[in-house]
Amino acid sequence: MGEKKKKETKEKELPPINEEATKLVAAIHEGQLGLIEELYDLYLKKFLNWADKRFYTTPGDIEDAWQEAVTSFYMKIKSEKLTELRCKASTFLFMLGHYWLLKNGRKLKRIWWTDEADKLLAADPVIAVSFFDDDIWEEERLLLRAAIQVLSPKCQKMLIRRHFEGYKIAEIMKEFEYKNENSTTASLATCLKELKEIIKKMTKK
Amino acid sequence: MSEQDLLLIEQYYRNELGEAERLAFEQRMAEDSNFREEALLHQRAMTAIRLYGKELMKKKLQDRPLVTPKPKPRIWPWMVTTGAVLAVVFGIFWWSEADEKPPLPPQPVPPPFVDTLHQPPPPLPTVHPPVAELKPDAKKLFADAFKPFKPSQDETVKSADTSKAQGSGMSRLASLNKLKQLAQEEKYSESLATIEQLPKELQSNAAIMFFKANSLLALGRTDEAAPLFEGIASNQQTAYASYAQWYAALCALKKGDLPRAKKWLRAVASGSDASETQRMEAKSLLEKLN
Repeated sequence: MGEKKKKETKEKELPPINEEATKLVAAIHEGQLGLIEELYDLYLKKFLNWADKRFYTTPGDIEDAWQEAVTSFYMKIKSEKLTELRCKASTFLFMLGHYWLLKNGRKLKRIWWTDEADKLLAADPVIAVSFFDDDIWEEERLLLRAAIQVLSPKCQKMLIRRHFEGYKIAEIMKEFEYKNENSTTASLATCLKELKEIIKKMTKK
Repeated sequence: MSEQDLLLIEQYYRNELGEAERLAFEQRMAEDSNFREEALLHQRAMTAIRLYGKELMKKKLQDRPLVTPKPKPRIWPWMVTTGAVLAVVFGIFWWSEADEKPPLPPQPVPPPFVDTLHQPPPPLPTVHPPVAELKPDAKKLFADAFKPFKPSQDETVKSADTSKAQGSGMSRLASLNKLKQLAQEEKYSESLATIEQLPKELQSNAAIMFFKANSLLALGRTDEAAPLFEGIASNQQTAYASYAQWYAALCALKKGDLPRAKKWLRAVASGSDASETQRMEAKSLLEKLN
């Protein structure tokens, strides 16, 4: 009995950390956006062919899935929810794209072979679920989009740098030519306050 | 809401609070309705920024020419080539050495005539180029630097099925692939005709406009290409910006407008979106213009 339990635990053991992929994650987290672009370009064609063999859908749709996979991957790295990988980055991205197509109701084709990305999704679908947890109802999405559009382009860019791309205050200060970190922080706070006011106003309407 | 509370809310959503602080925060959320409202508003603002950031990132990835990975330098072809060259050089040397006749005995050299009329030719005067030639020849520099934008063959995405990409029903991806293919094949007139057939909203897409400007410049229609490149170059949302800046500089160069050319070259040289090669080329051209 004890041996059986031991065997089961052994089967559920996680694969070892993929050091190369984890280094890539760390580099992206440190701000090397170019790596995300390289990943996107390097595997786009492969993913289009790969997903085309698995789903009844259009190339445009598959490209959307690829963009969703890559951008969500980036966001999770920046928010420190993804800090290590136990497979190749490309395998992980393929798994995410595959899950996104499934999630959006694309019909699967019958395939006679599976690869690492299929196995990864089958082994732990929860990983992929947690990647696309930003499901917001359409009305709220439209309101938030409209609200941010009201802001000045400078405010939009500063807020994105700080809260989406994770820039440090010093980096924003340099890019937007502020005199010191205090004035940069104050400007960011004003922009955020303005955005909140707009959202509040739009919600009341 | 106090500054302190706003900071606390921001830290909570950044996962920067410790366990005890987090519990206290959640307790306060449950009890204080004003605080809860402010926290939820903050969360909505963050979602707005995240969604918009994601949208811009997707657009940037879409509009960008694909990055083709640089091939890794392979050492063995160099070694083989160097080896082969050395072998040939050694072979020639050995063959010539083997064929060489025995050296002749030294011949007596006749002494020169003392009263010879033969004089060594006077040294040639050093010729300085005229000052005008030292100034950069804009048209020549343009001719040296200009190469129409050509995406690599790998960039055209096979699955987009460009053969079907005709008429006004083309998707953005299919149109772009078709244009990349035409640029690859240097069919610039055909490229312009294809763009004419696209729906208006696609024609105003930055990437499509870039290929239009590229075709116009390649066909020598610089006056039409220049404003298009400058428009794309000023648009920071598109990833074609740095390429457009480079070509805007070349257009200005061709028209002899050196200050404008320098302005765009400086933009490429200092641009964060430009690749290292683009920056180097821009710097080198700037040096020639200065």
